[in-house]
Amino acid sequence: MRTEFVRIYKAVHTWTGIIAGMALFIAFYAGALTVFKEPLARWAAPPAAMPAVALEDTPQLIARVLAADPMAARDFTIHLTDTEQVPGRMGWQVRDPDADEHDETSVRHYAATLDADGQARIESVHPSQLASFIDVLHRVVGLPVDSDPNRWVMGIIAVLYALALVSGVVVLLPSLVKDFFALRVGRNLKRMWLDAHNVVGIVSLPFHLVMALTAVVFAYHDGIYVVQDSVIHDGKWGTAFQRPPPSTAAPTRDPAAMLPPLELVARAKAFAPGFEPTLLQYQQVTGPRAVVRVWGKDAAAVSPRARGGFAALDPYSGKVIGNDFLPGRQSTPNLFISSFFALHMAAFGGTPVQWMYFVLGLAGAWLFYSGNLLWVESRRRKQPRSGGGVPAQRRDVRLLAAATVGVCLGCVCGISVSIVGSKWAYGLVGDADAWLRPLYYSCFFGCIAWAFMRGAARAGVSLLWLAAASTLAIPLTSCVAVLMPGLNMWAHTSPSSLGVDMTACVGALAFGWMAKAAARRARHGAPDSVWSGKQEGGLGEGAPGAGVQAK
Amino acid sequence: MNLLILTGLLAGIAGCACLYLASPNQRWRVTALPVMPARVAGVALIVLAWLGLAGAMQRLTASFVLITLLMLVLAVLPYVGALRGMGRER
Repeated sequence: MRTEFVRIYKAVHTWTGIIAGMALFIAFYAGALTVFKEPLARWAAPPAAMPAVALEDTPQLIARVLAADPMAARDFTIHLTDTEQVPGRMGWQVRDPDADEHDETSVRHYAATLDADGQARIESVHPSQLASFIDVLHRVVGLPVDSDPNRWVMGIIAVLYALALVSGVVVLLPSLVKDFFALRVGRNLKRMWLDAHNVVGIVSLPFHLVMALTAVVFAYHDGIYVVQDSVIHDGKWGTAFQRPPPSTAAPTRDPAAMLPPLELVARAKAFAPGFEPTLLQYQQVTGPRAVVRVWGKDAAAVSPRARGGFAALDPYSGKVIGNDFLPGRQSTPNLFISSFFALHMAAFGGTPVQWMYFVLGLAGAWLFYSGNLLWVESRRRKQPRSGGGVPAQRRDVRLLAAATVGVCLGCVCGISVSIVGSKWAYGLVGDADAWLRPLYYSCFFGCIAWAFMRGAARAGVSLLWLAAASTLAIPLTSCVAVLMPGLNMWAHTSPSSLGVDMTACVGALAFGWMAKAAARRARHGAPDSVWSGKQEGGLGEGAPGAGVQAK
Repeated sequence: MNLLILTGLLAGIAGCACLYLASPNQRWRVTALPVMPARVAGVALIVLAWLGLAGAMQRLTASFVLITLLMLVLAVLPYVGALRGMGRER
């Protein structure tokens, strides 16, 4: 390949990576945590205030709740599990019609149970928004709200990401075979960061290509549908898949005549034996088009959504009326589309694949971080071998090093502080969700300000210690909740919830190890680098930064 | 965990290790494994991994799981090898 072509692709790779890299770090770090959205929700969920209704008594619960609140018949849920984040056996949501369809903050949640007299008791509930908040950070690259404009920003970042991937592969092609698996650790730091960056990027390329392409589609799917509708379907797409309307004015149906939930579950399992139902979503149960979606998972199959898939049943007859979204029973075209969702969201293979995606997500975050390190190292002004003073590093290099440290570690610290804060705020001020964004963004911007004030090397060490401390505070919070019950906090003992605490312990140890390594580099590393702490901190003219210098 | 899935995952990891250890760029061992036998063993183990996974799940799912495993293990092994190599040189 001609050298000038490689040079052009290298420039494209460098600048797309630099522009999108920090946003992608946030998306991947938050995305790695979002793989375990349910365990996080379980960890953060306060103990249920409502007594659980036995599954066998659910038909009475449904009948009495719908008699008390007929509007709930439009769309309500019966949870089949009693996990921590489930506020009650029966629940439903009321959405603000003016809010964005992805905006979870505008949703009001209700749960219902039966009291001692067998009467319906309906309460407004406030499930923790922690897991959704981290998911939003993932979906819109750290922006606060999942709205159309923010998704478009994410889409632009995803396009740059795709460009960076393609151009990076082209740059690497001439030496791909020779350098495959190479990770040369030594005096040549640029070589080391290049290898560290390439080995992750090239081996996990399929993962990143899927992420980039699906992210673009997620960002612009509304626009894509509009174009499809007008170009392919002559504006009739909206009505093409609707069932025909009932021939006559159908009478209102009595929900008490529906099959019991356990019977519906049995029908779904008989239809798809590997399918494990988790909840029933009833829709329009008093109307002629009553349907119940039996949601669940099948680890042996590809699921169309992160929370699994569903079989659509008639709740009165138990007949299966749709399997377009049922894992393992989809048609080939539906399975093709579902595969993209599943590959983005780790919705296949069960828990082992979730852990693989967690590590691949963190590796992706490292890919973008190491890309910036490589940019910085490539522009380093070295001290001449003949002696002389330590040269001042370029201002743009110092700025990018500080921004990389501040943004990336600010995201890590902000998420850990939000997780911890979700429990402490609930115990101390009640509305914990209102504190999630202030906690995250104050920590995030505080870390960025600190990085620019102190320079990357010094700030890198202190922010890594802050990341270790805030992450360690997650399991410590659970310990405090057990030891000091008066604080109105809780510590669940399910494997999922304990898994969050244990993973945070490992994360804290890893950040502590990195902090010690960064401190060693700042103290003993070569002084002609933004990562040396021997030089003045801050970003004043001539002041070198801080950072990551291998000894 | 299903025994077939466990076997498939372990065979996949072993297959990746064979491929890595056969590479001239590996840092895990002082010398690389003989290229052809190690590569053949690696590919055979990966095929075995797919067969194990496909015995417990749908073939498309098994393929996705295996590809995910390969990406993860092949990305991690060079780092583990570099750490081992550094430890050996100290």
